[in-house]
Amino acid sequence: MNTLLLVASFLVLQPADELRFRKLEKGQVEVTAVLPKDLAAKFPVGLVSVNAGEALLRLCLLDPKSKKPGPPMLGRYERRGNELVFRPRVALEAGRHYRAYFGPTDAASNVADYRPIRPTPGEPVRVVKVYPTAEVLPANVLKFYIYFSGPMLGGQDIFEQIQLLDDKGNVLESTWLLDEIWDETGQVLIIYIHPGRIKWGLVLREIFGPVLYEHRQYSLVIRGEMLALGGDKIGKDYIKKFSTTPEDRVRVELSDWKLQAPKPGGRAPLVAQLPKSIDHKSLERFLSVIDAKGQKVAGASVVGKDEKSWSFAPNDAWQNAEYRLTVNGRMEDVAGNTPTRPFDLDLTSKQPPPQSLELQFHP
Amino acid sequence: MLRWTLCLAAAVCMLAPVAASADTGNPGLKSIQALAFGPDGLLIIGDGAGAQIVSVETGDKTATQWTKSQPGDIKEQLAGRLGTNANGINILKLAVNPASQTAYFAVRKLDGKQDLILTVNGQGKVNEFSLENVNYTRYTLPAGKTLLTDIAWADGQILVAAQAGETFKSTIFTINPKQPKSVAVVNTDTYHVAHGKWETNAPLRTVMPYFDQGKKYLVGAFTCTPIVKYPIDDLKADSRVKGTSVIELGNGNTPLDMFTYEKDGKTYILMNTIRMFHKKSPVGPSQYWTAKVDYTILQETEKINEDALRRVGKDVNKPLTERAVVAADYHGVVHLDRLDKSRALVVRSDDKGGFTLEVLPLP
Repeated sequence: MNTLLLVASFLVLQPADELRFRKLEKGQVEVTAVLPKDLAAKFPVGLVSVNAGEALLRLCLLDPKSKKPGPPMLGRYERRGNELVFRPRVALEAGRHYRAYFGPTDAASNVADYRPIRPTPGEPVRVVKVYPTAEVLPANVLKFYIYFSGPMLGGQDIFEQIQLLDDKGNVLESTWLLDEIWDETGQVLIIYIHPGRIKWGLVLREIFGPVLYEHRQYSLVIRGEMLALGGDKIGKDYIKKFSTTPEDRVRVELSDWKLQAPKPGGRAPLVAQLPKSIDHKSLERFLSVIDAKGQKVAGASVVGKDEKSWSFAPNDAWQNAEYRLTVNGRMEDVAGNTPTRPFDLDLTSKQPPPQSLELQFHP
Repeated sequence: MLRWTLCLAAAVCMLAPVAASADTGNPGLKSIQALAFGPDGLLIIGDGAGAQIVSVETGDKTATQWTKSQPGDIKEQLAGRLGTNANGINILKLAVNPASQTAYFAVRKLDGKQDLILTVNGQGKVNEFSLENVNYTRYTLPAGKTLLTDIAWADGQILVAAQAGETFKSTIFTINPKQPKSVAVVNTDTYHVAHGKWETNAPLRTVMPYFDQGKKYLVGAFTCTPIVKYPIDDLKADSRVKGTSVIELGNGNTPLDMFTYEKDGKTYILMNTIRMFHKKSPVGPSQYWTAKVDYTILQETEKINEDALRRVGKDVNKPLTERAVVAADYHGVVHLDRLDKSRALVVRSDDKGGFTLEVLPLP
């Protein structure tokens, strides 16, 4: 299709009602424009190139202050019947002002406006939980998980909006590793204390010291300025207070775990009591119960208070037989120590021999 | 004076065959976390959320001419094509297709957490590189869902670095596309050794290949900016492979992108970083600064590991060597890639929320 020919032949502006927005399922929108008969006859039915489409029909975001249009949105153009149809590549954002232009780029165009309505504000997004949940943490705690009740917007500003405060309310500086790690829903954020200030021997720690010191009180504060996906502030500060113990620089010793074996014939849970807090995601991912035949036992696990216990209830009743609780060597405690090695391994000190990653029990 | 430097060991914990499949259609990405180019416009995409690497034949081999810096704010321009403003997107990665000099941006639309690839040509025209109907090959990562930091093409091999997520592991994947049915992926855990005394995990931030006397290496940079090389061919299942630290560029910096180039008969590495302690101890006017490093330092065999060269000591503005210097014209560079033999394409922050796309002569 010769775009120039199309534009040149677009001599008569269309009535405004020939240009409109059409709502589709799942909140999608497309823009439809009725082609003049002479153009319709020349336009091929089916997909239209972006260049040809943009020469006639453009959907733009308007600047909220100047009302100037931004560049045409990316999307798919299609001749359907006597209409030119544009479907934007991404969903239009609630609360914004969009304008469709139908006509040559260098002449007056018909316009139609669309303002996706913000859904009725429901419960504002809030922080629902922070892991580790314990109120006493080692001074070398490595990371926090922040769970929100709804999807968040994210962006580098979060590293200013999430703060560690000392017991006098002073904001600690340069605390975070600037990696924004969200889960797929945008509701869970993993934020690391900068490992360079935790690891032994690194210049960063030698110059600036650790972020947290032992036997002190701290607050993790998630500021109300953090933005939810729709652009609204979460509103209220969330504060998690905790105190610190000396740094934990030893591997996770599985021999220290206490297993409470259930009775055979029932479905009461196996309970493991853990002497120190284990990363809750590690507990969810890296523990398995294996039966005497070597098969993984199906069931449901629960992480207990302060992430210092883990229980597992099987779908089928326990047999009067040997079982094993197996632990993946990647499991971490809240300071990044694993069953195979501490976070920092002192090569000059004698290391304990490798430990078994299995604990046996007999219901 | 502290002389903490790093040498590295890689424990190969997995050498697993992965499914590689060639197909036409939409590869169905769940994320776009890393971008790189192979020969003839072969685009390599890291999809950590989808636990896959996908190579796509772009067919993009027509050269575009870049003559000057682009007017306006590149983030606004990319965002405008997606119907939002600059705050509505994150630019994740920039890769220049060497076959055409077209810029490929991995962009995340924050509303919906949707990742797309947008292209910019020398005239500043923004389009989408659509993945709707492409010829592609998929390499499934056996480690499952992961967070990827960088990808590099190494003369027929694909090198992939992963960052910390729920665990603070360090993972490198190597993929050989020439053996699609028995592709070996090596999953490594990497340990820092500080002053020969401590080992800790450390995820790689950016990677590139290095060839020396017929041997192929992966060169990587870590947070706090040591540059380290690994002999790729030495990676064997169930073995430990020592990496070699050749220089540290200074503490408190996180590497972002790097590439090599030749100028006046010498070869250099150009690497931009973000500085954690910019307010307290700035390297330049922006928290983003760039280092120009003598490439021959990768040949170093004596001053390595704990004896490796250091760009600076405690005073970040008092150079200890001329083999690694600050590229003053690159202050503020957030993303960079080589455009051609003499120029780089960069995204530069004005530190006030604005971002420009600029063509810079290589320093």
